[in-house]
Amino acid sequence: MHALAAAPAVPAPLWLVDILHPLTLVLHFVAMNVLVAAAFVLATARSGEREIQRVAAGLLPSSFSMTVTLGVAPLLFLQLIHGERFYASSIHMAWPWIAVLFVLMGGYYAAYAVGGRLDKGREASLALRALPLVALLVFSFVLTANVALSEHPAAMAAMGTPGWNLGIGDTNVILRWSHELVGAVALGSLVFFVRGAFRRPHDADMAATFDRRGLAVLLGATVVAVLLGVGQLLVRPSDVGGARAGASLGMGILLGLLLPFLAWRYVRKPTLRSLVVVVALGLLVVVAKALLRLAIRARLLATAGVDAAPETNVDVGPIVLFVVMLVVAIVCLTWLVRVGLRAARTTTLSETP
Amino acid sequence: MFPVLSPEGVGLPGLIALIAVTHVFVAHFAVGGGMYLVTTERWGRKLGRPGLVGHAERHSRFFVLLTLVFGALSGVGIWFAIGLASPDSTFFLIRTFVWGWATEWCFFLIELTAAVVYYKTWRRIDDKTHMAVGWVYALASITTLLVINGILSFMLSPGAWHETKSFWSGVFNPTYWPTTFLRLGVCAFVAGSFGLFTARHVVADDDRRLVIARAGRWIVSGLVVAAACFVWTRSALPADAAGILERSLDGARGGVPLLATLYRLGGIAFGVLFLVGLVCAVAKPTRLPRAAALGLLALGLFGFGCAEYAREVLRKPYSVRDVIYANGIYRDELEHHREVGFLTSTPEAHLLQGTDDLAIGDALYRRQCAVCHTLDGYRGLDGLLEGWDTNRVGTFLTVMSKQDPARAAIWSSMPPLAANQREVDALRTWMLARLKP
Repeated sequence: MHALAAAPAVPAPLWLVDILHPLTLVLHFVAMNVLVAAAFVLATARSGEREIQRVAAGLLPSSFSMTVTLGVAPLLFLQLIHGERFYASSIHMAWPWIAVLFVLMGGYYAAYAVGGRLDKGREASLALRALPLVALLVFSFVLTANVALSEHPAAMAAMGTPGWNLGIGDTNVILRWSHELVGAVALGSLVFFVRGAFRRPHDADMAATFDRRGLAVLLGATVVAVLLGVGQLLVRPSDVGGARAGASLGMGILLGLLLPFLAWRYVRKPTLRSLVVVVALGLLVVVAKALLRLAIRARLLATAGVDAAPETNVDVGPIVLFVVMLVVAIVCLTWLVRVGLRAARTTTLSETP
Repeated sequence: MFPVLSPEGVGLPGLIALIAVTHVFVAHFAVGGGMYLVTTERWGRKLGRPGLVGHAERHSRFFVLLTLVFGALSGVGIWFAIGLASPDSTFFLIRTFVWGWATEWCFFLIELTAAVVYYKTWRRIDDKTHMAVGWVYALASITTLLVINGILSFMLSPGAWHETKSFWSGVFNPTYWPTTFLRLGVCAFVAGSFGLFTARHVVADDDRRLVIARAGRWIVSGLVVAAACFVWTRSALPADAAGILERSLDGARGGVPLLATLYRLGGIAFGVLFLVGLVCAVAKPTRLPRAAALGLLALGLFGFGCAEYAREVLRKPYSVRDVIYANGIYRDELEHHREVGFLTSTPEAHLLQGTDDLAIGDALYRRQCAVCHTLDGYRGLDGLLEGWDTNRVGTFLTVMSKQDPARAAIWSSMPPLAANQREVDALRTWMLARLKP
């Protein structure tokens, strides 16, 4: 309420937040892209494609957890800098905002249920397989609507009784949501190339199947994402004005169009080197997406006359604590991932006749 | 200026309580359960009993499903809910403790990855490495508790932070250590309760007996530690909160009857759990019916809910003691609002130009009362005002709108009214209109 005037200053230099926010957002996007692509492939796989279904279902639980957990940090930095607007937009759409959590939880458990059925050699119905994707569609729509509304203070100010105001008419949200979602499917499809590469030494046919599926999803989703992106540009060209947004957009388009071509080359002649290039390029597109997202927010707020650079009062001690713990976390995570990969390789070998 | 959500029915506190209590219960299981898992595995391997190791393996699947799915999402749910109900307090805490949360996030990442690797690598890596993964999980999850409890206990007892405004004084506040050990005790008893629940899947009677007895020991020892630390916490409470607790338990004027009820109900629930845990630890039964195990979990959740609710009540009228009231108004700005009016700085300021006192009163209710009260649902005003007359409404508003010592003795858990005389008069009109003849 009025108390905002007394809210404490940001206890960090803004340049540090400007580094950490996009960095953590990129990590979140990577996991989210894998999650959305896996959910898409699981829902669209034919009933006979058990192995494709099994791999997609196997990716879901951990990518779900990773997406949620990796999303905590960017959400934290978003609140740190844009708390006033983000809480206000959340309150405007309070009921959908709370309800989507339960939807997401249903999708999450459905992912486990599908995996369990397939692991036991049973069939998972299309309805069950589609549930994670449906949950993600609903969740991502409300999340996009919330973030978009928080970037349009004038639209919020004009809103009536809070609770159900999604702000759909004011914020170009449908195009934005569908573009980001389809883009996520495209980028996340790269995970099937990686799974194929793991499979190749033991089952070249199955690896080729993964590669083909990955390529088909990548190509199809890229075409749709480009069309939606063009639509967004035509509807609201001013959103991506300015040097930062323009550069990120240009980089995203260029790399995004190059990606299917390189992926096609990889599928024709799969080598580790070309896979690394494809995945690295995919990561760069994610970086461009994250930077574009933040640049658009900065531009929209600046256009709305919002000063999004709060006062700072740097407190070094807690920052040092965070940095040290981040290093500890990176060391632990590296070790854990190595253990996990070693186990995965062992399993694949032992499962091979 | 945030928009105000004023839902009826369960209200915002009810919504938060629903999400928070279940989440925090599962979060304590995530901490205690990690230690339970890895020590069970170690114990089974040491004794050379595959049945016990198998129990740890099955338990880990249940553990991952519950903590990673429900725990993780309901944790995000708490963020969502408190941002809706108390945006000012949430914003204040984010700005003050952002690096605490960022540090906790580092350990969330370790915790999550370790949980997945631990669960997925049973019999796929050597025993020593598998247990090392379990220990990494257990230590990471305990660290998350050490961090988050700094923020939770700060809200109850900021202590020296008022003078220093330092992150460290905020985290290491007067109730930090007692509540940290209290929560660790709770983690142990929750882990033991869940251990009893999954024990029925142990095939061999001998193994099952051992598992049940061990889970019983976890419950008993956890509750003993928690009880001792509760006494310690009481002694570390800020004087006014300790006074409220004492008066409540004595049934004296100025106490909060609800607090005494929660205290007793929680005590009964934990007492029953302690006895069952003791029977399991000593008598070592070979079976525990599923319904009984479920009942114990429900009882634990109920007792836990009472304790968390009591903690919330003890913190009232503040959301952060001596800084922000539960309705989001900063204590330092109270006098300002009383001088120039509260609604003047809200989108409802235009109401003050007119003469519609009911509308002004309604706006004040929504901005200052609706965070805790509904009209006719949870903590409904209509019910609370039953039997009130003009005089009582007048006395109430006089007490709440003045720096009156009587307030502490009557409505001690309510934030004072931040309003000038014009607004108080309008609120009086609004309240009188709600009185039933």
